[in-house]
Amino acid sequence: MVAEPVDRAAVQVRPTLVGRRVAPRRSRAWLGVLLVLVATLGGLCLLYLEQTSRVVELGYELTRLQRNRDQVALEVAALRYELARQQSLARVEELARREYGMVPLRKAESLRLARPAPLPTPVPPPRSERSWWQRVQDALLGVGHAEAETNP
Amino acid sequence: MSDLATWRLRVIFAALVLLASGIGYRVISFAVLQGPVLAQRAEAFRFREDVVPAHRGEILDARGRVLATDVPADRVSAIVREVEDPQRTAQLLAPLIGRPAEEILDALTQPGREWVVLQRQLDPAVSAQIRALDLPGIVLDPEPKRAYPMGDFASQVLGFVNWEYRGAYGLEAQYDAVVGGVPGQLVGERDLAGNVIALAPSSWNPPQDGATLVLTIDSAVQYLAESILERTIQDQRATGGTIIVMDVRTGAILAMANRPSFDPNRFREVTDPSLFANPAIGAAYEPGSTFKVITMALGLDAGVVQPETVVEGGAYRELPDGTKIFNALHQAFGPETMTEVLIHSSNVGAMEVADRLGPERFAEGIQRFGFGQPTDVDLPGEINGIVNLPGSPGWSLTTFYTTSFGQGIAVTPLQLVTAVAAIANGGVLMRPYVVQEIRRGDRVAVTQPQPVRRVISEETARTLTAMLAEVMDSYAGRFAVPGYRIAAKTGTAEIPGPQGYERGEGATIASVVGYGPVEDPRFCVLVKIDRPKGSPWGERAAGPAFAELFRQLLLLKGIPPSQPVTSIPSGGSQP
Repeated sequence: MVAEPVDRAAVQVRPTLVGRRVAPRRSRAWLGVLLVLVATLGGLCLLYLEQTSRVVELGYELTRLQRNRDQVALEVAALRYELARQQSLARVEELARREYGMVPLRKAESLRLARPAPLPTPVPPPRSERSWWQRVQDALLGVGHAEAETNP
Repeated sequence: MSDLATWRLRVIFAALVLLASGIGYRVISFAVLQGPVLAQRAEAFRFREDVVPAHRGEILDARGRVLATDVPADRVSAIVREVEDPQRTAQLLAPLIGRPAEEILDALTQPGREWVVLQRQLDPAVSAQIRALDLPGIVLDPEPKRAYPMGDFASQVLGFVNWEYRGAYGLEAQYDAVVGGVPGQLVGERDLAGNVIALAPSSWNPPQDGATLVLTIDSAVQYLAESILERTIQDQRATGGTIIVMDVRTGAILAMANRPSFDPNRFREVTDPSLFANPAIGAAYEPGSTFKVITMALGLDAGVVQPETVVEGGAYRELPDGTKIFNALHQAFGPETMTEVLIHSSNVGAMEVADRLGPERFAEGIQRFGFGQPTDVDLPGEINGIVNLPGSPGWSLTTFYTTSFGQGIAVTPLQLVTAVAAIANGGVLMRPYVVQEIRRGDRVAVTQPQPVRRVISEETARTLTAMLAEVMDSYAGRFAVPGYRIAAKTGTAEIPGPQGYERGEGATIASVVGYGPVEDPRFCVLVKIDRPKGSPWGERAAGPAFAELFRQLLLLKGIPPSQPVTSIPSGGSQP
């Protein structure tokens, strides 16, 4: 029996861990996902806060605008009232008398006017009648004919 | 550890225990004992319900002029406990809000009051002055105010809006549900300043603004009527009067003027509330000889008389019981045709017509013309008037005969105008109306003319119109409408009192009712002057006003004269 020679080079010594254990790749991936989730959640929260505060802001703006609108409507009503007051017939008469020296009608004369006879309704001139041969020839040669619909 | 230190520690511990107990007590008190009540109050504060008032619709005349609208105003109130110096506050506010300082001081020092309203419907200028004073505890709240830009113009037709912002009297009352609108509600969570929080749940029931009313009243015609009425009352030293102008074809009322009247902007200063009522529909009077038009219409329509029928026009008619009923001034006219009966305004002639009709037929005819019942005009407060029908307690042979010439019967001015307008338009009684359109946003509801019934034949109407045109011609010396043919009849009615008919100065109602132009009647006009002292007679007290109104009306409406005319008498040309 012959003993097989031992290949010393082939015999490897199991390495001994001397430094910090390196985290497995899968754990690092989870951490990354967690960070992304946290960041996303944070971003969403910020977005929600931003939107909420914006909506509330707009709500107050809306209230302010509604108040402004009501105020303007009241001013319009006041102006309409003032306009109507100025148009009061008693005031118009007083102005007409005082400012423009107008006086009530003292003499009226009705004039009878003969209504002028109505103008004759314009009759469009008859369309020029062209023979079928002429129309075919014009079509072939590309000749057009303009016709006035009514008198100028 | 020394005793002193131990003692100090115990004191501090005891103090902390005391503090913790106090805080604990308050926590339990707020959270448990008063919890539900406080939660309820907080809820009520946060979720407040605000009533949002609706805008009241405008009232416009037929030409689109604004007769009633809303204007901004403020209500000034005081939070009593926050008023620092009631004396000074009262002194400063008194001249601005128009209340005595003592009264304001009393209001500000009332025991047990938290809140007191000091004045309402302040003008914006006054509000600005109060705001500038910056008085502690004084609050200004906006509130709507109804305003009538033309003052007392058609005031008894329009009515007014009361403190509760509800219509009172006139169209404001009649159409309150239409023109008043429906208030809205806003319920929502609010912040400290009372603003609705946008994200919080809320409910918004918007107000429905009131509709706009467009009237048949033409401000130009109304102004004419009011001016002429005012001037006539002054000239005649009368107590009041009424003028109505109606479109005979539709029943639309173009003018309804009354005096005395009131300014609806200052309704609270009116001491006599009877001024708020519209006498054109709410006060009956004995129409006197203007009623002979109705008697004659019934006689002609029944065929018991013709225009040329002659009756013996003595000074009086003696009844079987010996009662004598005289003509005015006890005049005897001798034989007279029916046209002359109207021209002379013969009571005896009118009694003859009633006699030929008989009590039943006469009473039925009067009712057919709409007397003794409301005209159904769209105004509140209309009365029936008084018609003594056969068999009723007020009927007697005397009232039967006196009714024929307009005594012993009470009518409203509108009833008379509506009845005479029926003769003018060919015999059809129309329902009078004041509101032409109701505008609600884009929707417009237009009032259609509404015939009530035919009261006389067209032929009778034509015949009577010709007779009344002759009657109008007979007044030419006193009043006329040059260039136009007008049908009219005057009336001088005695006023019944507790001791029979009144006597002496200012004891009549003078009136004229008529329509024209005769060729194509458009307008029916009644001029009624109460208790004139210048002249008791209709043709003198009311006639010139009637003619003046008709002249201006026809000119205004552009209706050309049917006869040559080149001048208008002076003195009658003021609007």
